[in-house]
Amino acid sequence: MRSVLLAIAIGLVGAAIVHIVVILALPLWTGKDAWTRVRAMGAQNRFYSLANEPNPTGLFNDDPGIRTAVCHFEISNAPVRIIASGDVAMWTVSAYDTSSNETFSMNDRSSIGEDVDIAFVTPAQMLQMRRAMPQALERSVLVELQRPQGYVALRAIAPLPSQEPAARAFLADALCSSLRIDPA
Amino acid sequence: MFRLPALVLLTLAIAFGGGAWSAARMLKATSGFGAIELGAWSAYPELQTASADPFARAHRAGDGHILLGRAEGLVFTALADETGAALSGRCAYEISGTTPPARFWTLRVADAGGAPVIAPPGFPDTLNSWTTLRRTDGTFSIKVNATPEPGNWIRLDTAAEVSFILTLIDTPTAASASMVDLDMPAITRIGCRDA
Repeated sequence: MRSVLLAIAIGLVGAAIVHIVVILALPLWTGKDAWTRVRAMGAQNRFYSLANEPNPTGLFNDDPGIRTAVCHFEISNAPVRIIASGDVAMWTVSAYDTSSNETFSMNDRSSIGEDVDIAFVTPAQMLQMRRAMPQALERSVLVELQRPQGYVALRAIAPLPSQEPAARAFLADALCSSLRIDPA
Repeated sequence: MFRLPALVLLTLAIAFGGGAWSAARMLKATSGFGAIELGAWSAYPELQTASADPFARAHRAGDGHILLGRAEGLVFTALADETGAALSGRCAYEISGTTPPARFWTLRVADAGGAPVIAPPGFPDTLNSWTTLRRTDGTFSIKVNATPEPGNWIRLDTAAEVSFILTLIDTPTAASASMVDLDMPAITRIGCRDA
């Protein structure tokens, strides 16, 4: 009888451990987290505009007036620069790491000028740039990322249907390109 | 003779069965801690950050949405009206009052799981701060109903339970600590049709 109770007690301790492991490991194994879905859209370093209707990619605009485009990148070799401009009512942008934790976000009110111009760099590249700032990046917002991989979501807001073509064009023309910096 | 293997089996069954069951149950019961509740509305300002709790992260990874960043905005969801009754697609509601300060907001209808309920072409299924008509004091009243209404109207005609989703874009709300003082629009049930 004692050994049965002992077996149950050890089982309950084991259950607690399994519970914690399942909760902590679940985000790695769902297979439908945002990072996996963004990567499934296609190659890196280009923006993919999301559709307004639910579709097999799993990603779509929840709100018809808030259009989103996503781009995934890898900056260990070269920084990535996000550029977008156009006549939209409002835009917002945010960057996430591979576990979908927010690393950076901003909107058009907090930018210099009206356009999106952001460069994502590694700490090492940042040091290099402090020594010799490339001319192209002088007006960019420089964001240092601790992890080299991630994705960025750019949103254009079209409050009225007449503004939708402009929002669509804003996202379609947005660049998410790798930037070669000359070693100084 | 089979006593020891039976005990080991019992231990393993309790550990894996109990662990998996409690994890699944816990995930179903809660969508994470750190929610702020304002009347019928709730939001998770920390959901997209690294400081989200493990339950919220598990939900986040399972939903796979591209969430709004802190500088982008905050999403409020209502699953019940002011009296606490679940929102039904067969009832008519009035959403009235003001929103917290934001540069832009949208209001839309979703099912209980958060997937958008899309109205047939030609019917409005969403309103935003530009298209909503206001009274002279800046407050608004939006009717959510199956039959068209004068003024602000969103079509709602499904058999299932629904939720209302209010998305605030570029709002100081996301960063402020004193969420309790914010005004959220009130959700009042007008009436229901027979099922």
